[in-house]
Amino acid sequence: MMDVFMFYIFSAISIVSALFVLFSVNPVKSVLWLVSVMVGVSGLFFTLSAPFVAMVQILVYAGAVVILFLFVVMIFDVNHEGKQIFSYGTFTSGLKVLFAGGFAGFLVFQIFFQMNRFGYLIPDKSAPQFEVRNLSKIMFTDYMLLFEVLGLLLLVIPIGTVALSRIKGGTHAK
Amino acid sequence: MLSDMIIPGLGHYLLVAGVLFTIGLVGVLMRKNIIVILMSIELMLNAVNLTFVTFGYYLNDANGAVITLFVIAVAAAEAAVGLAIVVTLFKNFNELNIRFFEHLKG
Repeated sequence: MMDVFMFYIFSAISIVSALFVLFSVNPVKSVLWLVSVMVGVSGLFFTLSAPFVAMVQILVYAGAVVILFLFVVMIFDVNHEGKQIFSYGTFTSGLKVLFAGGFAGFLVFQIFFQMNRFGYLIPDKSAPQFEVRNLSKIMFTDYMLLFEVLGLLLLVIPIGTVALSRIKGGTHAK
Repeated sequence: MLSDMIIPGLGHYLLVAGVLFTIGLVGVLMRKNIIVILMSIELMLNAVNLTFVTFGYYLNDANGAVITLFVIAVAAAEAAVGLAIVVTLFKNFNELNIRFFEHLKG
């Protein structure tokens, strides 16, 4: 019974906060609602008995990525864009809404009508799959190459970020 | 039958992930502010992570969670580079509106 409540509470938190991210005029408020989305999704990971992934989610997203967003928003003048937060153009806006709505409808259709193919899936609650020992065993054997490439990526990213932020002008500099 | 509808199963989690992904998609398509567009991309990545963990849980397969960890690492790197590009754009043009950059003339 507790699980049921947890699922509904956390999914409500994440969806409502995502809507606030979408509709906030002030980008600082968007960033703060994004923290709430991350916490909600992390709670959903907890209900899926994946506590390690949930903690990594909070650490990396709420702790690092969102703080980075917040710093970047704070060094800008956020109020000079006005109340009009969506891009205008009636035809293209209608097209975009139509596309997004069609995509959502397709997703819901697929989820409801493919459920009889996947409905028999019962999680094995006796053997915890997502414990850290199991995850690290897979990560350091099956995905060893991917892990190394990720390390290389994390070396390249700071260098690239520093190089990008030191660019002066470019070909069309004012 | 009613308890099937209420007790969360695979479909419920997939539905939440789909809703989050669609909200992120609308944000990418419709918002003007570049930073909010980057945030919407993070939302979509979160929805995909939720799908991975859900299927990993229901198929009793730990690969879903491992892939999620990789996706989180790549998302952090992507946010860093994206924000560096935004900072550079703002330094050069003093503008955050995506419509300002649509002509791609430098």
